[in-house]
Amino acid sequence: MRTDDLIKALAADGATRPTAPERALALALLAGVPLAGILFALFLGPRADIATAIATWRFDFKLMVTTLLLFSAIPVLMRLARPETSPRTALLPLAIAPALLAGGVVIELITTPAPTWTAHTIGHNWRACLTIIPLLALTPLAAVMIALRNGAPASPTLSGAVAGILAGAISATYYATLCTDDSPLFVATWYTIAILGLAVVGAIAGRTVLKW
Amino acid sequence: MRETSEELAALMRAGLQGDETAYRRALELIAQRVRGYVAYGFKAYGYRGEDVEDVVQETLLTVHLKRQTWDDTRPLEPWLKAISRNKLVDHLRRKGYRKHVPIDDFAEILAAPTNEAAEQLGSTEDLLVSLNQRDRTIVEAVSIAGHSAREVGDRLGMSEGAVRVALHRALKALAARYRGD
Repeated sequence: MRTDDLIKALAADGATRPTAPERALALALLAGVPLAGILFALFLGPRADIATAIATWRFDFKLMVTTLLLFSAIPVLMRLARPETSPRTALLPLAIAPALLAGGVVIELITTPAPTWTAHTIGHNWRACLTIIPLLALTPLAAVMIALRNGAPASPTLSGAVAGILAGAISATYYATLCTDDSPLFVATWYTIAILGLAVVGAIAGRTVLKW
Repeated sequence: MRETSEELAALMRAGLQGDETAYRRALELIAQRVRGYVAYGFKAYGYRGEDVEDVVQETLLTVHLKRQTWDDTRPLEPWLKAISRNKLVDHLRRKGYRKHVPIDDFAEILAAPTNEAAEQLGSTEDLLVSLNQRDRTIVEAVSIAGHSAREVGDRLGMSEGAVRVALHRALKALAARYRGD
């Protein structure tokens, strides 16, 4: 086929304006976030003492970290959905939440006696943390991946990884209201493992699903 | 005469708003630029193939199917180069060409001498064969024969809307075939 002829076919298909990547991602989040919330409320729900927990800085702090990760991952992913974005600079905002968490860890290490550190790190719920965060992240991850297929990410692998982090942050925010291990030491260990695991899953899926 | 970047961006913007004539003109200008990028890229990679037009056609298909990823408040060329580079690298990999030459530097490229290559055949022709008969008829009718969706619909006993849907699916299928999915 001559290129001019191909152009005629493309022009004939140009009447509708397709969804912009930001909009596609926003729609996916509008579906995926409440859906994960409904699943969480149906099968798990927050801890019984949440009213008193809210008054403690450690509980508020872990929620702050997960929501901050969530909200910093959204614009990063929106930028990554465009082909000309240079991934290296686009990823920078993702460092904000880990930096905050690192600060929390330092405060915890200063304010608590060294012999308690191990117990705080291991906590009681690490198995639940490593199970619930990945499982609850599956619906938002699927929604976000579908939305990203509309884009043209320069690096499908990297975009998949960030999609995993975003889905993990959504799910971790819900899970944080359930988990009774509030120490930053626990969060920095197990939440990180769970979310990085999701990043790996997202990266592997992205390699094929987000190829364009 | 070569349109400037601003003129091209304006045409593309109008095209994205549904102006088919502007969109077609934008695609023609894009094809010229992409041809320049690809020829330059082939040279930069030391690849001697004569299949420039294959990459041009695959890039055009992608430009069309991913046009929503262009932020229309920004210049078009960086976006166009990113897509061209991606398709060029894919193409060379498929050809088993593994030599790594970073060509981040697509910046200073002149577009290839214009229209002569638009007459060339690209491998879209071969891929058309893999579509089902009806989709193939539709693509050929709107492209080679230059019929409108309505005319094609009248001939095939389909609504104009159904023709458009089938055309869109067929173009997506072609892009997937290029990728080897």
